[in-house]
Amino acid sequence: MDSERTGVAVTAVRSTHAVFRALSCDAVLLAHLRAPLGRGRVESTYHRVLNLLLPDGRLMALAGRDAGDAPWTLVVDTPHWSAYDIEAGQPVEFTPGRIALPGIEIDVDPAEEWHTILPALGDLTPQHLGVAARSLYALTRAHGEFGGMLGASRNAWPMESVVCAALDEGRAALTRAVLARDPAGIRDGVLALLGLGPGLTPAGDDFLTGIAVLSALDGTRLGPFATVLGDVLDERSGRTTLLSATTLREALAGRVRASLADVLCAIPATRRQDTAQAADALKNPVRRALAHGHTSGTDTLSGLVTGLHLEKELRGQQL
Amino acid sequence: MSTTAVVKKNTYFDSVSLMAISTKANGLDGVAQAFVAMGTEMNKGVLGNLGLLTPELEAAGTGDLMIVAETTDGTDTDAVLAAIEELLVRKAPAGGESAVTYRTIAAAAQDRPDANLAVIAVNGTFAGREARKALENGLNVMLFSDNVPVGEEVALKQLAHDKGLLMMGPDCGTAIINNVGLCFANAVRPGSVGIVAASGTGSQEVSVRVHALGAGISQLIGTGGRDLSEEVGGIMMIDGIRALAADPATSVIVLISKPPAAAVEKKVLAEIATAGKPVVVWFVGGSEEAVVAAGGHFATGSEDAAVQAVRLGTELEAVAGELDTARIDAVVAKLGAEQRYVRGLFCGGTLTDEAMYALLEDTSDVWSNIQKNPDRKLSADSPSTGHTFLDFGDDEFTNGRPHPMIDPSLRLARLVEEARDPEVAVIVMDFILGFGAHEDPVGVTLPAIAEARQIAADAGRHLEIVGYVLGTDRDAPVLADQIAALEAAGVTVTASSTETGQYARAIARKVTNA
Repeated sequence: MDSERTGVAVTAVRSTHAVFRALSCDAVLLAHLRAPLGRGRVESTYHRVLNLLLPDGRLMALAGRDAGDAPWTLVVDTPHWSAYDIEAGQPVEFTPGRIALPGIEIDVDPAEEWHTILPALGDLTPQHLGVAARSLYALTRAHGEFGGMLGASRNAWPMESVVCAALDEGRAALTRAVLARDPAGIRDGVLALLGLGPGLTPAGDDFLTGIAVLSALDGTRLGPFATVLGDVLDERSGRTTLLSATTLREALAGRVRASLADVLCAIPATRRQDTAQAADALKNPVRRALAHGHTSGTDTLSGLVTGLHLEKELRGQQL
Repeated sequence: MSTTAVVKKNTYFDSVSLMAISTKANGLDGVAQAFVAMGTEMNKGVLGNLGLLTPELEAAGTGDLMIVAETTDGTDTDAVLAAIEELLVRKAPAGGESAVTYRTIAAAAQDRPDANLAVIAVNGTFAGREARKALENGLNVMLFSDNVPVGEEVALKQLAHDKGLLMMGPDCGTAIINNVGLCFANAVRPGSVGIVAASGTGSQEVSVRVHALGAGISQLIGTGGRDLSEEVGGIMMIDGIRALAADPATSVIVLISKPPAAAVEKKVLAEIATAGKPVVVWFVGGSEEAVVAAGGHFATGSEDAAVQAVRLGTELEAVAGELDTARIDAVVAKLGAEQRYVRGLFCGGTLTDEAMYALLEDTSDVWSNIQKNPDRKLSADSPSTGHTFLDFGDDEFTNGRPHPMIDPSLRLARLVEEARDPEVAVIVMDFILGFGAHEDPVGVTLPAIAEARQIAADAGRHLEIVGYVLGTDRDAPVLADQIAALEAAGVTVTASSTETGQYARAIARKVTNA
């Protein structure tokens, strides 16, 4: 035995007969997929997600089994897609209950419907919103990734520092404008963040997603922000990627990925708790939400923290 | 400084692997800093403010990926570009979320030339074929699958022998190779004790005892449970002994098996003389005479095997634990006159064997689903009778369901059932920690333990439940927490598999003679 060689290859043998069973599907998307659609194409390919353009130009995701439920997402019984040589631009045939890509087919029918379930925050007091925001911030800072909304990582190169500083300025501008109920300022703040940041989903977009979903909940005071963000997405759709724009629009409609919805749903249960107790109650859903992407989970929860602070201040102003 | 940029149109990567590319690009010779982002207006604005926006980057669309590197003067930018391109086409590293799946073993072997071992766990019908491919590609094999025909096993082991490779299995559940625990193994410190074992939980127990004594494991080579049968002839155990004899990191060798076929035992023991190192032999229920005659060190049980190995192979003091007789007397005093029998409910086959053989020293009236004596053999669906020891990991219990180390449901139901039997004095259980095992084997059992104790209490009986937690202080979940949870539930916790058998036997003796 060669003790110097420590490599261990875990090999798996896969059938080349690639028909996949769908596990779950966003209910809105499922209704589309059960109707005749026609031909679309592959928009982009990731290790665990294939983004497909539907014939009507909408974007849907074909996700591996561990990617989690999300709006416009069909979760399929495969760990990932990297073994199937799918490339952007390839044709996709959508027939009722069936999606066919080169070399693989998806049987949509077994999919269980998934719905975003979000809580109402209307009856939460400013004090409770403050506790929730502080505990979320503590958890995000302790377990999240630097390099986006949390600031530059230690020993960051100038480029990362510049981007993080710009993100911080954008957040400050947006916060000031929302508190001042200044639509023009909100628009400037949104434009300062939209499409800004490293990675595949710009950090600024993820941050805006966190505020956007709060603005869709019953009892929100963030309506003006939602109006401006919706307008900007309509008028300046090329400002960010199609994936980010779709995610933001869905968040404005109260539809976000399951891991983020779980964090929101855990917040009302922390009523009458102190920050430490709330952090303990939130830690598991937060850890799952932080696992999304590289800094995406962190940046989205940073948006949620800012949104909760804004809700708290806006409610205080009205009291 | 100058700017080197790559724009990839509609080419995407996972964000995590993309960040890895960014980090690696930062480490390239001559690259001062690198930035990976989508070609949005805002990101191009930042690059523009930094004076890094080249015409190519300016032309990038929002859906395009930009990789921007600022290089020091005099750097060969073509070489940097080529290096970045290479990072982009390189596959994601193995491990964690970015593990690569290969369609074939040949492809894996080709893509990972530094790999030297394949772990194969596919349906038994195909397992032999895949193992052969791995061997033919120069890989050692750990074959987890069972239901491989014995003729195929012999052919595979012969092929491995001819190629100088290890063929661990079929039905091999435990190995530690070059400090990497495979399948069901425990987190033990590296050391000089080498193990070759035809028994999964037996080898786990010895490795854990060695660790507890302060020593460590050099290699733990599994052979598969059938290796020492007459048909297979101990091919893997003999090759394993030779490999450890040649391994400079191994100072002592431990052999573990159920009693081998007589002719095979002779062949295996003949290797001891040429090993050039002390060899400790624990063949469960085996005889001392043949081992000593061959120059080996006979071990009476798993703890004895570990103690002898540590004494022979290291400079550490090693002492076996002693049975606490006062504790036994106190338990017996609580039992009623009717309570005469021990019921063992185990996950580990060799742990079942070790406890059962302890009782068999006193009486032949011991029943089990793995009894060699056909007159005392129980089927999985038979009720217990007298002293009964059940191995829930045996094929009859695992047919169509996971191993009890993963799915404890059958054992939990049986625990409650045994508690209803007024003749039961002691229920003995094992809890196995380690890679691949249940994440909280004690926690999942506690409700059934409480129910069992309540049933006995309602009937006016004390029910002695004995638990042994097989694991190390490096395993997850935390060994001390698992023990504490059992003790809090009123369970008597033993310190080793050997002590578990001795404890059960001591109580059985007392209640029989009472």
